Amino acid sequence: MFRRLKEKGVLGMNARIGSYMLPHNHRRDYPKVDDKVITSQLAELHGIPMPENYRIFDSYGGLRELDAALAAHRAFVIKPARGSMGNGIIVITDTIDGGYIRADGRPTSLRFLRYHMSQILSGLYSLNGYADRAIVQYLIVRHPVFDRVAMDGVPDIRVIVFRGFPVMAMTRLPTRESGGRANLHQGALGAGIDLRSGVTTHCVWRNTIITRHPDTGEKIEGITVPGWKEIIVMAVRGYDMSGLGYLGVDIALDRDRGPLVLEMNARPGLAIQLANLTGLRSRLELFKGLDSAGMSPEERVQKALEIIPAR
Amino acid sequence: MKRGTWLLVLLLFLLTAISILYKTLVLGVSFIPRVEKNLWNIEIAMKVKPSQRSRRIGFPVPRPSDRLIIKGSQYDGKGMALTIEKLPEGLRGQWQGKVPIARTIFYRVTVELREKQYAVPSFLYPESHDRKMRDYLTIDDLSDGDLDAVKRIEKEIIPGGENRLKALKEIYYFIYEEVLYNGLRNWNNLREILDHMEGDSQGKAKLFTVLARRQGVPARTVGGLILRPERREDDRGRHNLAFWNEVYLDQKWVPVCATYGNFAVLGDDYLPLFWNIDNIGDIVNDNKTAIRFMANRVESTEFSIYEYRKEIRKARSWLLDYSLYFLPINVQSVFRILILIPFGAVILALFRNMVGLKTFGIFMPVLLALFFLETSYFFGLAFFSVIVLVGFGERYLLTKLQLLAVPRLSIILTLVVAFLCVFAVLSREIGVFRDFTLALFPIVITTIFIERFGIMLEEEGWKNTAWALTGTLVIASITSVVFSIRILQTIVFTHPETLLAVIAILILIGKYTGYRLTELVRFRELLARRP
Repeated sequence: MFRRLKEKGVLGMNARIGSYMLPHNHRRDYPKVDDKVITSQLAELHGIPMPENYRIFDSYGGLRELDAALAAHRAFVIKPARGSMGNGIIVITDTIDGGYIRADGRPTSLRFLRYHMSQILSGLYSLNGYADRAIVQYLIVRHPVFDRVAMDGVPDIRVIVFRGFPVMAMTRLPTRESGGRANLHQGALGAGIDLRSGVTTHCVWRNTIITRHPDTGEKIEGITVPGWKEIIVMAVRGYDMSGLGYLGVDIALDRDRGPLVLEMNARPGLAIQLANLTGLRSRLELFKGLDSAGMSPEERVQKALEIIPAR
Repeated sequence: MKRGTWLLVLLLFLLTAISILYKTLVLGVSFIPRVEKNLWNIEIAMKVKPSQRSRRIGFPVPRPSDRLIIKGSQYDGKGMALTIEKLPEGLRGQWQGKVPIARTIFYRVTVELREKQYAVPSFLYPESHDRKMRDYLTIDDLSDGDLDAVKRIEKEIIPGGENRLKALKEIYYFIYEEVLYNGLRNWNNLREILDHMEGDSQGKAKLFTVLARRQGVPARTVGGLILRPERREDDRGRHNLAFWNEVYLDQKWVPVCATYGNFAVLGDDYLPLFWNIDNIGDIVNDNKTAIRFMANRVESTEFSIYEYRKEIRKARSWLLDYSLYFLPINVQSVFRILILIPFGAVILALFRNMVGLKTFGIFMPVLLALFFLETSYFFGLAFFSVIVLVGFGERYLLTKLQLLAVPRLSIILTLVVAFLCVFAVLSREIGVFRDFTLALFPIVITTIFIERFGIMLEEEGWKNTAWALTGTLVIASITSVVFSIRILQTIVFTHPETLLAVIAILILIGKYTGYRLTELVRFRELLARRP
């Protein structure tokens, strides 16, 4: 029954957990990527660029100073430190007369932001429901290369890193349906990226293959991501930072600051296989016996590109 | 999979098997308690027409014997008093009091019936009967026509010279095989029966009594119910009276049924009610009352805990000293349910990890299945719908009122308790809650479920939420069907070591790294296209 999935080298949910996450990701390393506050501290140590955290709130009392903290910034993002799948994130693109404009154009108030942040603190969006911290963060400015294929939001690039080697990559393009969020299960597009060239290939939307953006009608194939080498090297360094053998690294391309690591994920999703029309398992198998000890990130990228068969 | 894991799984299975085999083969204890078979609820209903006078209304009551065990009885006399007297004709209940308006009064009894074989002597001593047998030998009120017909038949079937036992058997074969049974024909006298060679059970029994007595064998008719499914008159289990006989052989009454062909054996479908009475009206003794018999088999067979306990006491093994059967009965009933939960978890694991269904909260389907089992399926669904509705309310609290987390959760908790009160009050009317259902109701888990439902609705949209709801309901339904298999419940309760096997199965599922069924759909594009 599952023969054809196996032939295509598709990675299923059970195998992802049982054969890759559990053996290669140590539980003690999870907080390094699950908590964005810890991630950003580690990233600073390792010299991996991330969006600047303007302010971190860890108590309800602290929220009284919210307006003062926000006053210095016109645009920003509010996120839970331990959120997952993009839940609980609010993007403010502009500030007008003390009111705030969200990514989809709806206005909102300071009162709502304060309420939302108290929800974050209470653990509503956190992975296991425990109390959480709320981060006010620099808002990435979309790189012009994505202007015509991303609606109301910033696309990001997801690279799967296995034991320090880049294995597969895609870019996640927000749509109107996803509300500016770059999460596939919320309706964002996923476009596969050729690891060698950094050029987009196929595109998946809600588990079906499409060729044009559902909002703009623009062709999605053939976009060259600028600074691709730098991006995968950055992704691969996430392994050195976190120690997680099976890792998803999310990188956004800022117009002014270049590539920035948004977050890392110890449980990266499986849709990347559809975006690349390639089974992940067959790719992962290529790296099974390979030892990355003593190799620099650049060398590992070089090695991976040698191993992965050309399209 | 590593060898250690395999060994662990194997060890768990082996431990389970060895323990059960040791108990059954070495200690000689039954695998599971014997099922109490053939339980019937008998209802004797009397439709009483009104009268201003105080009166007495009689009815037959099943008499306990070694093949008829009374499991319990109850009655509703609508204000009339009940006495039960012991007569040679059987037990006679008597209602006494005034019935000013038309009423239906009930006497209900649960009985267990067993089949019984009787010994037939090979030889009958002549004239061994004492004086009290005289009643069962006299033949009265036979008309001339009847007498002629009886004599004619006797000449045919018992030409002469046979001993009494042989004659009795000839009479039995004649009435069983040659007088056809016709339940709709109620001939008035023996002559008519013999002319037409057919009769109902009452007529055949009457004929048998007369013929047997004429041969000097004490005989009597027995009135009662023959509890055969095909004899049911309607869906409510109404039965008509049936008649058979008893003959006195070697100091014992031995049953004979010339209608369904039983000699010296009474099947477990025979419920005797009265003896040596031809007309039920003689018992009722009130011409304004109609009597009606209902009999329904008790379908859910109870296991005889008492006998099993005796067995394990006798086995005298430390292994059995800790049997769940030694818990107090009410605690046992809780554990009978609790011990099923791990099996629910196996089903859940199968569906989540091998089929790939989404559910709400991890154990919600199992909880729901318990609810379906304890109440009814529809009541369980009603409960679930209320939970879902509260989930929408949660969304309102979340997005419109914008309450802080702890107060908001507390409101849901309050609502859950409030709805529980409503259900409990309702249940007093419709009797769906058993005493321990409440104990199994985890208020906190339900609260958190509602919270997650509201959030999922808000964040992932109604489509994903509906899928998770469907998955939850599907798994809960299947689980409740499995839970309702009584034999499974009893095996697990009798041998709690099966839980080790459950752990082994869960290890196997936990080690499954193959695909999920739903992934065939999810990755269909990958299968359909070439890169």
